[in-house]
Amino acid sequence: MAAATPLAALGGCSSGQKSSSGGAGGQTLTVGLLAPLTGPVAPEGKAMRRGFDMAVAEVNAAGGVLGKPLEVVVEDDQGTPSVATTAARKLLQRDRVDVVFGTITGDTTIAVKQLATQAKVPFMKAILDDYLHSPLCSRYFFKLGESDYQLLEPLAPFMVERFGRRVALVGSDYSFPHSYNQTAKPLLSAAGAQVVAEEYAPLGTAEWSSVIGKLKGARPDFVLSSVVGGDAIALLKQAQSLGLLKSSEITGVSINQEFYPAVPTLMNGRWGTFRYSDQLDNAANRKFVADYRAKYSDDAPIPSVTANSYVGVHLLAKAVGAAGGTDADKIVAALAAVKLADTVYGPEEISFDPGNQVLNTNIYLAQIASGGKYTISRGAGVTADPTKC
Amino acid sequence: MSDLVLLLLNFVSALSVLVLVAVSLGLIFGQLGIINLAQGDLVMVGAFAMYATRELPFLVGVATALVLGLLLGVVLERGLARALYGRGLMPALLATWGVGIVLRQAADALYSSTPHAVAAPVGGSVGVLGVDYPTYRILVAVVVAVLVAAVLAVAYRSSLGLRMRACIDNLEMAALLGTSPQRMFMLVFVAGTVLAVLAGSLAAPIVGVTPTLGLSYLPAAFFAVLLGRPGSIGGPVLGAALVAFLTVLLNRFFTATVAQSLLFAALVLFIAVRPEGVRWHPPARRTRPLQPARGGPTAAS
Repeated sequence: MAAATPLAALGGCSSGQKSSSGGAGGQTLTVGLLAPLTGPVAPEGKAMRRGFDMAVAEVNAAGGVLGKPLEVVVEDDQGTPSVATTAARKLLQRDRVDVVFGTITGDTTIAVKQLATQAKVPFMKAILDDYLHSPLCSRYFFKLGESDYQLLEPLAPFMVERFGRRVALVGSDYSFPHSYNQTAKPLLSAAGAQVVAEEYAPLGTAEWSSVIGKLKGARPDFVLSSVVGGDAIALLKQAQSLGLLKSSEITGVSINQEFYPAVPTLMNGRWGTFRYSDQLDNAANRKFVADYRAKYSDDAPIPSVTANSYVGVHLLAKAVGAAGGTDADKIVAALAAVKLADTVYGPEEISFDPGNQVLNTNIYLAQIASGGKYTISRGAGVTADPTKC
Repeated sequence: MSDLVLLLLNFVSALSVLVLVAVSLGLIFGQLGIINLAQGDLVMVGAFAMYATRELPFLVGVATALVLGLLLGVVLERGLARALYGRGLMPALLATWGVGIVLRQAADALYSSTPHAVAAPVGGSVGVLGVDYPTYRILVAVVVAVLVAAVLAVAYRSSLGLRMRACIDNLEMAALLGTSPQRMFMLVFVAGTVLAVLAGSLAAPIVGVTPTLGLSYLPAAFFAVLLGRPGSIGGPVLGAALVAFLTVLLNRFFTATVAQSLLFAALVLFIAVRPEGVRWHPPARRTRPLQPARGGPTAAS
């Protein structure tokens, strides 16, 4: 059975030979994948694409959507809004895709969401995001990625109860960490915590001793860190060597599986919340992980965005099947109502929140153990994101 | 009191890697008139050399970085720098920026942009005047101090250094008096490359090793060089000290972002007030020295 055929190579032009439809009413579902395949966030784009490709292959092996293979057009947005805009226009106007799928960075998301909404084409985004402070509401926009709020809501009371009430916030100085902390603060005070320090340093900071000195001076019980990338490794190593971690626990986005191989001893035993881990023990996930490892020969931890795009394609296929056609309004209505159980996230049924179209799933509380595996402490239940649309 | 000691230790720590990068940049800029925009990426190469040899003892890693720096220096000088002498500012900027891109992309292709880490050879902390400070950072400060002292000793107390400074001051006269410009250029370029790579290998256990690591060091190093007289070898050392001092002081009282903005504003002001710190000279075309040659009585003018 034909697997999905990417009709456009990286950055290449569609040959225009796509047969039947696209656009309104045809029977072949065409999805435009818009991902940063090159540029600074290429690793996330690649991770998203892997889940996407795996799901498309599975859907087509099982007969496709509406009896026809799901077709894919791939475009590289390079992680920049100008390129994303051009690529999205091409997908919408030239290739006439039925659904746009992808984008990683916030600014490309905003650009593409505007275009998709104007063109009245559904747009699905797989990577985690903050929705509270940039709602991006649109009936055409479906948010597969978990939100900061969903991850922080169970984490805050747990950390306060376990480690203490004094919290220090530290982050890289750009939009995401600021909105992350804006989301965290009300949750922390609701849990009875007191923010004793809040420090930001520009991206590319290699020397953290001054910031660490200020954090130490505030004597926090734990540190909530939204420092990203190489800076996070520098922060963790220097926090250890300068004695901050002797008296303070640390959690946040800096504590994740991706960084584990770099600083295993610093990560062991640290707490975090997540929606997906390749360690989740259910039949669907075991199969997914085995297929992933076989297909990509990659033993590294599987990132959440891969699982999100994988589930997203399956959600889409089910929704379009139920809709009975590729007309945009039908797809939007079907996606809003679609439910799927026994996913890689677990046995529970998942669906898009009717208020803000964020995907609601279980969130888990876990510790990082040796080898980078998450040891699940407990499920924290399904957390709804409170963004109002 | 311990606050002051901590500030001092932070200053020494901030100075350590910066001074090596500044001196290496200053050597290449002063002697060869080339602004090497890839200097930061050479630091990154040193750090990745440590990551690549992380299973081996630390000193083996440093030796590997040294050899890599030597090879890279020779290749770059032969292959690229030679074509840039006397050609002007823009070709050098473009070419070295291109080298930087190649280095970063190579590191990304080989190791991906996932941050890596290198273990320090010595852990723990040591008490300095009542303040506990990481032992490794003290070690790095000592090693760098020795290195810089050695570089300055060679530059100002050896005949090789004398010939090098003569070449900087008046290339044609030095050539007429028996110093081969080709060999001097090669020597200086390789020395600059090796110092930068070494800086990276020493910094690796403290930071996160990513392909864009070097870009963090470049602006500060440039300012350190610009604060001194062009061609001076001791100048970048003092410049680096000033930059490190301002950095630590500003970070004590302001948030990191504000401190960085104020730092660069202050440096820009400094240089605006001292414009003789900024003039660029083509080494191959001058027939008169910009400043009188140092050391020894001046000849009858």
